[in-house]
Amino acid sequence: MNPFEERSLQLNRRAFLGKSAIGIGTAALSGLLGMSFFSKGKDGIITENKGIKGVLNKLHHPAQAKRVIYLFQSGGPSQLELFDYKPLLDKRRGTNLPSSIRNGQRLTGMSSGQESFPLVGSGKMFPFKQYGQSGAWFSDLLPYTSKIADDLCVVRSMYTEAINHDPAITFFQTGSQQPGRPSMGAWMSYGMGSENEDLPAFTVLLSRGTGRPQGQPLYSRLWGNGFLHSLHQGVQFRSAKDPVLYLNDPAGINRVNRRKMLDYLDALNNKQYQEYGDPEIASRMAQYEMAYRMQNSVPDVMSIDDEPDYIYQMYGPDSTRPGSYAANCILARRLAEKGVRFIQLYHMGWDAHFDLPSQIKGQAKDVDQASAALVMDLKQRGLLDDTLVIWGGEFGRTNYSQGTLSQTNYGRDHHPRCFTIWMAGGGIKPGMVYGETDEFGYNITKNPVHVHDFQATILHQMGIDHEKLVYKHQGRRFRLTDVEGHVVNDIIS
Amino acid sequence: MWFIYFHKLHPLFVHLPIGILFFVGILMFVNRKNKRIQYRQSIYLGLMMCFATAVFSVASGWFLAQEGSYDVDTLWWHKVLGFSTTSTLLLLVITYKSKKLHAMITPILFLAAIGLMVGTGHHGGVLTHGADFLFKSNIGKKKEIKQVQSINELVAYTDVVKPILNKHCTSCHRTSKKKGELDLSTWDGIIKGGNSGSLFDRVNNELSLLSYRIHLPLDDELHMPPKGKSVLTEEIIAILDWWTRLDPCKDCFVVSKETPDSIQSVLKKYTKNQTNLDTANLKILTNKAVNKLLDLDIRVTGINNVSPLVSISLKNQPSISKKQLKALRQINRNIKELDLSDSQLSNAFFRQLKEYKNLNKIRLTGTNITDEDLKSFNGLMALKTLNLYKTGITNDAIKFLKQLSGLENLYVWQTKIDQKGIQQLQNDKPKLNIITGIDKKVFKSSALNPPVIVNKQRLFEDSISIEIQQNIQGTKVYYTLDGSIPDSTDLVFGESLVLHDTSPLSLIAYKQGWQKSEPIKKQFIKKTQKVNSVTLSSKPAAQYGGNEEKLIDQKESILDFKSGDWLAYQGEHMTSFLHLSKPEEINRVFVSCLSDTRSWIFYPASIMVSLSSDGNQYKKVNKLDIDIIEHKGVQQNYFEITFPKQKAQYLKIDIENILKNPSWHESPGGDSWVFVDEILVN
Repeated sequence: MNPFEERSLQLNRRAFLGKSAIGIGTAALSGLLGMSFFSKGKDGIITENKGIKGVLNKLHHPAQAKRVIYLFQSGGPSQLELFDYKPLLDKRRGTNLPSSIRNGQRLTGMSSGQESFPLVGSGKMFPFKQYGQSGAWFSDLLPYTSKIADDLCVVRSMYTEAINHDPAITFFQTGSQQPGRPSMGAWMSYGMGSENEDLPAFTVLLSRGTGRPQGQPLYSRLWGNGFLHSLHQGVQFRSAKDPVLYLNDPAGINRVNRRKMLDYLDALNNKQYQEYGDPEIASRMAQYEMAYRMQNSVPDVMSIDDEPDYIYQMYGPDSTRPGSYAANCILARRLAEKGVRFIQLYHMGWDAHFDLPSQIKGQAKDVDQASAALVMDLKQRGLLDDTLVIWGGEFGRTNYSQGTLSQTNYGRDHHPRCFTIWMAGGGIKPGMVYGETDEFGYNITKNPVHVHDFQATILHQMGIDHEKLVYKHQGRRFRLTDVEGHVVNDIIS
Repeated sequence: MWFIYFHKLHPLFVHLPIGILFFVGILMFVNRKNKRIQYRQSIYLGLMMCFATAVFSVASGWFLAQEGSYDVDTLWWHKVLGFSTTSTLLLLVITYKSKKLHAMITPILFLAAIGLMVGTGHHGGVLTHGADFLFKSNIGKKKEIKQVQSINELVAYTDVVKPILNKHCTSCHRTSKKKGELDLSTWDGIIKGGNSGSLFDRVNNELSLLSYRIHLPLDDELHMPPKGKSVLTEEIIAILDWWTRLDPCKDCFVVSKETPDSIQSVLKKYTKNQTNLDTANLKILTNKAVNKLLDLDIRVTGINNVSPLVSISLKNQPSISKKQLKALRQINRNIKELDLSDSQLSNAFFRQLKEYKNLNKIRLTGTNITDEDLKSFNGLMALKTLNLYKTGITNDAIKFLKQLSGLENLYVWQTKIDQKGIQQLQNDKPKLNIITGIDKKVFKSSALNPPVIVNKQRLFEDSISIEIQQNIQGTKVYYTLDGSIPDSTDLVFGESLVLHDTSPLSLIAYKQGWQKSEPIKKQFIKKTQKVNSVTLSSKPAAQYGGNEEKLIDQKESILDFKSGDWLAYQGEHMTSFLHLSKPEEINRVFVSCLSDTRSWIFYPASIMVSLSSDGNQYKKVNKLDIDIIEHKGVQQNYFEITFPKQKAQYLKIDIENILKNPSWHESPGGDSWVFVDEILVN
């Protein structure tokens, strides 16, 4: 048998049985009415010349945010040095973590073998102060972020289920610890499509931290499309000569030639499409067209030379170094202005198992000014009210020292039970601190926010009911929040 | 023991006589019209069946009534009518056989049976579904949530809790059907409670009795509402939890000091949107309409199932065509947000603007809007956010802006409105949020990054050309070559710099409006003397690959102790003897060492240089003491030991290992390493 036919039959066996189950009558009716029984491709993967079309014809409720900028801090930033002030840890410095607090929690193999778990606070090295009307605590490591406290909603009661980097980041991105599900940005692209026909709906920017340059690596499946159509995967924009790999024409091919080639290819593909009606052909054609348009639009968005000097001053000196976090923040703003729906930055190097004081200094310096500048820059352009900015990592860090606690040095292991993130704009209440942790900074005592709750809230702000954006795959319906998640109404303005 | 469930089948039995009687009626009617058809036997059988099932219904109903908790009056009527119906049916069966009575009485009895059955059925319906079931239509009715201007006006019981109870509880717990003796349809009934107690009773510290029952697992028998009834939403559960923990109060307002934020946010949906929106008869845009607009470059976003209002963007248009204007006009009341960034607007647009009754937010960034155009915004009652960033608006616009009564946010960054104008506007409208750009005090000018020296190599033969990288345009870089920190009076670094001698290069960056950078320093070393041979007092550790040749090959090693170029010694000092081919004038020695404290590798404690002219008698010329400091990562340094210029052919270099890891190290007292890859003589 022709392999293509074979494949299409396999693809549709389930659909056939599914529909027959409702009743052969329905099938007969659809046949009578001239509907194509085997029609596929109406599930949000179609593109037209106006960009990606989302599967949702209508949002579930009015949206407060139109786009998301997710400043992902990869490696697990220490909440205890940055946001969550615990004077008791300084008072008890060096004493063992009480077992009543740890409560038998499983630790990672990196510190579970330790004889003692000496508590350590931020101490005199990183003194904390209160800022803004909410009185949110920030340490001296964040001189810029602390000054925009009135624009931030600091959530101190995040918790996750994973204790190691890969499952924890995968959990944050896809709602499942096991790889294979679509990333949050891919879900949004699938649900809502793109707003700019020249750019993908989901873009990704990476930067390395100076605190721990050789830290945990990242991998492209974190921004992958999972079982959704490949059109929805995050497109990585690099700082190098080719911002998007394989986008540029090979040497010797100019745009006119490229156009001609695409037109001929289009004609061939069209012929094939008429014959087989495979929706993959249509979407492949659309992808070629999108790539062709991106050859123009990407260099335009990536060349930040036209930014005025005061913008560089605002984002800090690093912003002139391509590939730095600060430069990526400027790019994020430019992409937001162009209508990209989900812009994800990753900043690596927060995994401070040892030498935490020196590592976190470098990391905080990398991100503090640029993150605050991004929020303020969006604000002065009037974009903050419909752009949701999120800053946070995949988990927190322990209140005890991993390795030896010395006068000036210590490390912290992974801690999933509580950590801090902040959000700004996009209909989230500004100037707010949400959730509390105990005196030891180990457990949450008020208003816990699970990763699925966080995801449900983000979707809610975008006008999507997290229980209704689903994709049927392998016989069941999947969604970003799996079978859980509650919108955190308290932080929504 | 099927018997104990017998009475539960009452709702099934009661429908049998109804159906049969109906069918018998049809047979009678047909028989009357057409005498030739003989249906008498069938009719008789039907009447008997009807009577028999009616008896079953009465019996099962009798037992069901024993369970109680039904409204007594309705039940009495139901019973009386039920008995009467059954009796009438019996009479029908009896008289139908008698030829005398038949013709006259059967129709009367039949109609009576139907009438009685309707009455019985009606009362039965009242018992199970409630008196208002029949005439209450749910179709086309909106949710009856009381809408108020502010949640402060909401009364907890009558406005919030009562509607919830009416929707989810009173179908079973009401005055006419008190399941468990509980009546939730009246305040008195709520206070009185039911068989298990009052709603407000505490099961434990956290839960009231009501909360306890609604929080039970869904398949628990005691779970309320029972299986099959609609499940309560989380919001409703939250409200009921909160309300039943309070003291019972009929007229209390929702909001008090103790009302938690989470409840207040749930209650928010009771409040009316305060804007003067005009959404009457407004329809949600169809897909077709949206696609038609898209063909005109008008992008619609935010279409949703709840509100007909949407966001429109029409960006980057060199001009807005008549077609586009017409299309916008057709949906003008649907537009909540309008983004016209970087488009060229015409007078025609501003003329039709006043018809955009529901416009809440308009973004005019980078458009050609003028002060006069702002006049046309006057009628926009719903307008809250006006974005004029990057436009040519001047102080003359203030008088028009003042008239916009509902305005809450105004963006005027990068316009010609100056501080004075903003002050004037702010005085007039103290609540208006005017966004003028970032606070320069917060983002005060930051320091430049130090220039980056591109050259990787630090050793050179005759000369080296140094190149630097500085990303910020217009930065001036100053340098020194004597080890001092440069400032703006020193030499300016041009395109590149050529060094001919060993020198420490220091750089600093300056730019107007920025703070100067931190200085950076890098040592460049000229290879002047070729060392002929070297002998070591003891062999370096074999696993790291270093040997005598590597020590004097004048090549730089990479920052990796496993590279095979490093001479490594653990727990012992290193002494090397260098031989020049002939006596030379020398005045300094560079020793390249590695430090990677996590790998137990430290800089030496000291380096001592001794010279000799014959290779036997060495005389110490200088010793460099080195402080061991904790640091992160891997470092490498060329340590420089200088001495008065003199002739010598033989050198002895004593490199002192610190021997034991320092106390701050994570393995204090361990045997530490010293790694050396190169010794250079100048």
